[in-house]
Amino acid sequence: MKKASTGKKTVIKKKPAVKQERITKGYAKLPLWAKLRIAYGMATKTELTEFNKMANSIITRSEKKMGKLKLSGCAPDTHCLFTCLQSCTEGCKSSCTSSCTKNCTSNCEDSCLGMPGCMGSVGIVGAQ
Amino acid sequence: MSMNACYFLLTPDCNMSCRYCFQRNGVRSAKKVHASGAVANKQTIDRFAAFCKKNGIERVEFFGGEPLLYKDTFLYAARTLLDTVPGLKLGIVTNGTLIDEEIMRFFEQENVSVLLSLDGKRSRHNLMRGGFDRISHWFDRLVAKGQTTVAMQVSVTKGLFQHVRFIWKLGFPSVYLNVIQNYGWYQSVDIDRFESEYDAALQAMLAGEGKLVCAIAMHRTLEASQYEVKCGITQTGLACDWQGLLYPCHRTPELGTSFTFGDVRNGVSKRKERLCRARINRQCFKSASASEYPLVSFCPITVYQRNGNFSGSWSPMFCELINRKAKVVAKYHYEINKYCLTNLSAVENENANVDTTHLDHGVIGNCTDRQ
Repeated sequence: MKKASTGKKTVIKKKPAVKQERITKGYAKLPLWAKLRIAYGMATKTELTEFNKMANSIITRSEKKMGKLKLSGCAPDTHCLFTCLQSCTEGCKSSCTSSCTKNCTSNCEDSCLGMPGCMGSVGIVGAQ
Repeated sequence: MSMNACYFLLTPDCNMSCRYCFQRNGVRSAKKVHASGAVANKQTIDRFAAFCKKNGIERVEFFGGEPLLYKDTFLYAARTLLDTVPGLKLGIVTNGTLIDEEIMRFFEQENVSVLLSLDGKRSRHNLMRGGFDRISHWFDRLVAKGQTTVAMQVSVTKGLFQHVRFIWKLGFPSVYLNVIQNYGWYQSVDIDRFESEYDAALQAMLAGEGKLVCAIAMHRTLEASQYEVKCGITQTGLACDWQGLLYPCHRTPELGTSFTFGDVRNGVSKRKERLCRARINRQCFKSASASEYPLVSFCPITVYQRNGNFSGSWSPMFCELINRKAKVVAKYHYEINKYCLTNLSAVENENANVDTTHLDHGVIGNCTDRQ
């Protein structure tokens, strides 16, 4: 016999985009051996949990270190800080500090992309 | 190689003609490479020694061609360097066929570290390069003196592990399995076969049969979150050829003299050096192939020899073999960690990544870039 419908719809909750981005960023910082174990399906369930924790703690640590960060353009009279600034020593840094008060993305991105250690183009603000 | 180390290419000539030798594929003709008669003279050697002293070079690695081809030149160079630069460490990359009593005694007395090209059992070694019987009677003394690493070319993947085991059984504790980088050498069948042979060799290392130096180096590399370019040419490599010209790596002389950035008399031109390294880095390691194979640093010299520029495509087979190597090392990550803690000294652990990271970029025997 067919059960009567309760009228409730199943709602699949999606992870918020920001959270997803955070996880991806955390995974990017995992050691290569961990990434390989995940990619080749060699990681056990316990390991996967560990890697999740590791990724979370890495990203939390880096957030603490850099202060509260916002994803957007620079606020007036602030210097932007690119994610890659941690490892870039030239280019990005010099162009940011001298002229980046309006739109950090365009200023930084051009000089930063391709520099050793550059990790991409996420403009972040406010750490200074 | 680090900034305080330098290769010294005494001659481009070699007494052998190995099947996979990259120098045969270079811009020079095979004839010229193997019998040019070019060799460093005393003046160049003296100036090189003075250059090393002035620039704080702590380690010199003899390279060629075959550095023992001109024995008197080698001995003169080695002794001059030791007399001129106090505390200098010497190393040599050799096929071993020209070792004689005098050379062997010199190795023993001066604690010269030797990177010996040995491709496995007699049959395999002779198939690839020849001369097994000319080196075999020195095995015991090379083992006894210590500081001898065997560089074994992967080349033929079939039965690879048995040949590694053979070398371990000879008493050589350390083997570096060097994936040769030639375009077109490997076939698709080699990929899976290599993985299973490497897996077996790694398991044998973990069981205590011997040390697979390349696996330990790879293990260290995989600790980072991003793969860094391991090619010394982009940052720290330094080599001096038989004419006293300075290059960013030991293989650059194969491209002729257009990539020199100084000489032993006048030293390094910092501007030229910066431009040269930046150009190679930009063209080779920011190329499409570099993005496609993020775990690999393919040799820019090989790319140049094939394409006439540094930005050409990398050998996909070579890159896939390196990927498989990384895969196997990641598979045994925890076991290798344990192995390093129990089997390697603190110094070995620290240096595991120093001397061998770059061997995969070429055929050793005549090619190593021990970054």
